[in-house]
Amino acid sequence: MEPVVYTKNGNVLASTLVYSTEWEDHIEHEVTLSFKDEQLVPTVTKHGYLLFKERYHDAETGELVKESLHAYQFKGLDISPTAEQIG
Amino acid sequence: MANTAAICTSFKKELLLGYHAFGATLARSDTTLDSFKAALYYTAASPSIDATTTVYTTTGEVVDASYAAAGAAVTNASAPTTSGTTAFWTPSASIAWTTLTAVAFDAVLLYNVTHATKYAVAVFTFGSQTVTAGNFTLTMPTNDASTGLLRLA
Repeated sequence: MEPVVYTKNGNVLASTLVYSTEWEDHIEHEVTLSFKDEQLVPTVTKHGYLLFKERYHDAETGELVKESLHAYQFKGLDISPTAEQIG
Repeated sequence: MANTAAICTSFKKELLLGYHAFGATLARSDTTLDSFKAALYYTAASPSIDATTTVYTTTGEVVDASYAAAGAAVTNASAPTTSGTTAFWTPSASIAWTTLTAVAFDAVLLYNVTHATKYAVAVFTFGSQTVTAGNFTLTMPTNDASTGLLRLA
């Protein structure tokens, strides 16, 4: 039995679809320097996100019938509290 | 070693654990764990979803038969912890929507769903996106002091 794929038009035969993927890079690199053993040591931190998109088009009409998205968040958010000296 | 003014690292973790209640009125009476959810918002949400958002709102939230209002459950199996002077917490699994159709959304609001007032926690954005009869998965960052989803540095 031929597999089917759920699309916006319901379940359709996989053989009637064209599958494609795309990566989108929204990554920024932050370089911080610190001293270790009297040498500057760079540390690279990735910010932003990476997207992976999966698309299925109808092989006959070219219509986009299914699109999935997977987002990888490289870094969360931070709160930086501070304490001041009193007086 | 000299005394140094600082927010105690243990306090940062305890904030995430709900140990402290400042002020003259006890605002919290719950004795059970909180649950969290993630809701999706349109790029054109008005008011926008940002640092001024205080509670979960349906205004600007994605509307579609394939999307359950209030969003998806956030897996909360990892206890907040510390490393160095940073406390951090990250959901223990990806946040996922299946067979979703949503046009031009760009934000997810993490919020506390246990309280009647559904307090906002954080907003994450990823550019305007569209999903058609597909899956949308938000994969979490590494749960450590430099990349964890929520960090008190």
